[in-house]
Amino acid sequence: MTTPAATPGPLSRTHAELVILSLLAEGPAYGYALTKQVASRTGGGLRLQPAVLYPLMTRLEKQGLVTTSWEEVKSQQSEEDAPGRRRKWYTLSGKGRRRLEAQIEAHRRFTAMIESFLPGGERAGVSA
Amino acid sequence: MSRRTRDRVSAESSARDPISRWLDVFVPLLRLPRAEAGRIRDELEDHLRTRVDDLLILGMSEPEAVQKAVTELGETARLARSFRSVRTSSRGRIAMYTGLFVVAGLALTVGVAGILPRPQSVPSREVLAAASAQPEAAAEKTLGVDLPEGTLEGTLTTIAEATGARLYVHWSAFEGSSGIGRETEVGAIPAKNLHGSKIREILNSMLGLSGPQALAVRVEGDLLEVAPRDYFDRIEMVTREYDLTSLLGEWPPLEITTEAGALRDGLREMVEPELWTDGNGAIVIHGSLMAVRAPERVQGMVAEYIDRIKARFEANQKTQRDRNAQRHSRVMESLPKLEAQLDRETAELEAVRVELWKSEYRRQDLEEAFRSAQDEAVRSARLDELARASADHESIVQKRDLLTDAINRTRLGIQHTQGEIGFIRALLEPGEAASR
Repeated sequence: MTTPAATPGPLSRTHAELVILSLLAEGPAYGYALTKQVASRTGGGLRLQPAVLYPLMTRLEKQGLVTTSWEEVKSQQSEEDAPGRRRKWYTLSGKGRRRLEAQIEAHRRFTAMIESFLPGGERAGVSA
Repeated sequence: MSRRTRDRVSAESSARDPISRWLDVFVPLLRLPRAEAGRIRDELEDHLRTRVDDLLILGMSEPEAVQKAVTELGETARLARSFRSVRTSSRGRIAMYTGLFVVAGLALTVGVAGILPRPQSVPSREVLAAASAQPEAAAEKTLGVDLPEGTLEGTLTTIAEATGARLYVHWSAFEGSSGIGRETEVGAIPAKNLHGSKIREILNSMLGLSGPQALAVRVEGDLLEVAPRDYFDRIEMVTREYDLTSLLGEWPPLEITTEAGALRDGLREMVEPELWTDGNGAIVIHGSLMAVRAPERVQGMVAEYIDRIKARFEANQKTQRDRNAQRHSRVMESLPKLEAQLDRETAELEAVRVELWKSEYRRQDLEEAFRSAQDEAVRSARLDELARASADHESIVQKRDLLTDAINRTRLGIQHTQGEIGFIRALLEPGEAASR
């Protein structure tokens, strides 16, 4: 039976935050790079949609979970003297790192609970 | 680069490339302070241009790449709302889904801040006009103009001039689906015919458009998007979960049960059938949850359908509960009657048993008298008495047996009634059963 979770598709907001914080734990990134990393690591199975990503990044920034900086870049197609555009980089803050650790723990406990119901799963270990 | 310089660059680029023009439309929708909106603009511009660069490398033409990059961002107004909700999460969202150019009934006001293309200044599928009128003013403005016979674009332009707003018409989407375009001829619509009616409906009727190809509109602030309905359906796909616990039970099996299958099939048949077969709509039932992937427009219909089924199901359940409650009352009334009957029959049986003992003693006395009698006449008389006493005794035995059978039947009736009471109580809500 096909389950919704097994169906490739857009990343939910709940999971998006966990994924984004995890990616930023590996190093700074900008929005489009995050969408590409999600797509490439999941073979296109999951999509981090811009409509989810950018408002979420704004929220993370307001909550102090990420810090931001700007860089001026130029399009590959633009001419040498053409004006550049601004790229916003995100870096995980200490607060963001703590939030990530808490989310990973919560996610693992949740996953363990779900797995305990699956055939061959064990109910032990969910009371931690 | 300074803000002023970037503004100048932005203004210059607005005149020549579609990404900047899209951003010009998008940023006012944010309704955020200028600095904050500017940062969002910069970030989205970087996203779009980087994406376009990637798509060009993949071999797409520039127009295709731009269109794909913009489409991936989702519906413009929805995206703007997402950003705004971060800042004003407590404020209610305003999502106006209204008919195109609704001439508001009694007030005869144009209920949208919609506008149409200024074809001489912008290409198709781009922002067509940037009217100076504020949305509030447009909303109060009475259309009050005749729409002359002409092209679709001309008709819409006339409406636009009477209102004032920004417009984004997806002309190519019309051409692809229905052959409708800027030059499509539209008949005259006198202003007097617009009282309390929707111009969108009139236009759809004139153009012979219906179903997925019908003219549709989305309004957000002072921006109006016009496209075929299936265009909005494609970009407004959302997945919603519906709780079916009241229909399928608290913990239904994870497989699709007959009831769940019937519900899903009914939904597919009754709500936008083509969406589930030809479109991208999907229905997945998992346990007591049903996930539906469908346009926002259809989600409302799905919710309404589920609510109707739930209401009918609950009404049936109530009827059944009422019947069970009546049945419960009936059997509860019959139980004491049966118990009283058992008491009577038991008492009667006791009396019969006493009678039987007496009869037995009498019979024994007569036998003794018969054996001890010497006189033949007396012996004959005793024998007759003994025969009558035996007959009487036999009838008392029969009476006892009948009463015993009756008592057994009454006891069975009581057991059956008690079992029925337990069964009905199990069917009824525990609280209701307890109160009875």
